[in-house]
Amino acid sequence: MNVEQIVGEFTDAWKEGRYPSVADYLARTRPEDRDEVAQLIDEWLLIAPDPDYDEAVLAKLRAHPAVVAALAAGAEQDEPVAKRVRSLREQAGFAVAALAERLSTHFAITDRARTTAYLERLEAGELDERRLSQRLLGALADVFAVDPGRLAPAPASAHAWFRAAEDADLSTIEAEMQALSAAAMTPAPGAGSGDEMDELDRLFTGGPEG
Amino acid sequence: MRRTWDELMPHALPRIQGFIGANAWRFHLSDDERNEALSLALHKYSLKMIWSFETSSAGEWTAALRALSVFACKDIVRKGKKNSDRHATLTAEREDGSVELTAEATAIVIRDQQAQAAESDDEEDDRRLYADGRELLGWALPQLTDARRAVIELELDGLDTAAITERLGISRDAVYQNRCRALKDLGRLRKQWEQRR
Repeated sequence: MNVEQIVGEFTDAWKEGRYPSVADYLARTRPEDRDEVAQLIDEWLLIAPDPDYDEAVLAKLRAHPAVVAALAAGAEQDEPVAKRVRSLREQAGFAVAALAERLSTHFAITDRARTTAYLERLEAGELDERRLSQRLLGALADVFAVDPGRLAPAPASAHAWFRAAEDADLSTIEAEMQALSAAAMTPAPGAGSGDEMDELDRLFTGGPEG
Repeated sequence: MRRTWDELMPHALPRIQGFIGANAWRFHLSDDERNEALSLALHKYSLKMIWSFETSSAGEWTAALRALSVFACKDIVRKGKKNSDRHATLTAEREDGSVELTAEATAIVIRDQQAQAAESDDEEDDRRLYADGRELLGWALPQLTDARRAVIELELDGLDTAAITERLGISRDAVYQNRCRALKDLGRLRKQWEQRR
């Protein structure tokens, strides 16, 4: 088949909602034509209308392993960091004290009891997750052998405030406004107290750069 | 907001897979790497795009999905290059004592070329990221020949090939030919459009 027929059949299959695979069509293409077919399909997909998928195809799309995994990752990101830390720690089979020991070794901290206490407060949700340092979250991800993204705090969706009112989740916006307002009114830990923050304080309360 | 994005993901999957399939060929990704790129693109959709995508036009949405897919392919190229460099045995000694480059060294050269292609495309893809498809089509379509424009406009209206052949009184092969030529024209015009912006 020539380039025009291959691209024509792909676009037909797309419009009919048959969920065509580019790899399959490229495999059927003569090697010398594959660059051109790939380029034309790429161009087509930029303008192609959304097909009406039937329920069988939609079920297949929803059950695709990459979709299931990405949706799970998204749902996990919406959980508080405290809950994620606890869950990953339990999955990794660590007691809090054992995790504290690993972190203390990693950051050369001698006071393991304080590290344990900080971890317990973190898991209890007593610490502001926006004040956790990137270094701490990175080290925890290393210990749990997971991608650091799995411990990243969910970003504040500021742009949602500017969306049309019918799209906006007002309760979420109100909660975020209150959280931001409270954060703005709360002095940074150690500020004005005359106490110097040590390494452990910086890790757990010093903010992303701490 | 999360729920809406989650519901959209299965509908976006074929397009993301399509972009990755086309660009995986361009970047010489293996089947496993293509699957890895898909997984990476969907994770970026779920963890980052949901917070950063701020516009509402279908054209921008489609362009953003393409950018997401191309970036994922490039990330896999970079990762593959890093791994192959780290573990490679670059030279082997022949029986006569002379030294030759190994197949791994050759693979690194190919990876280097792919990585360079990925880097040089970064700027182009950045420009494409938020190009508005509708606005572009409004500018580009009048520049196509009447036959090519007619086919693409009927495509965009959702007509299948049989209906287009009937409406225009031309053969299926002629529809395919005009569609392909129109796509080539649109690719060329898109580049001109992006340079103007």
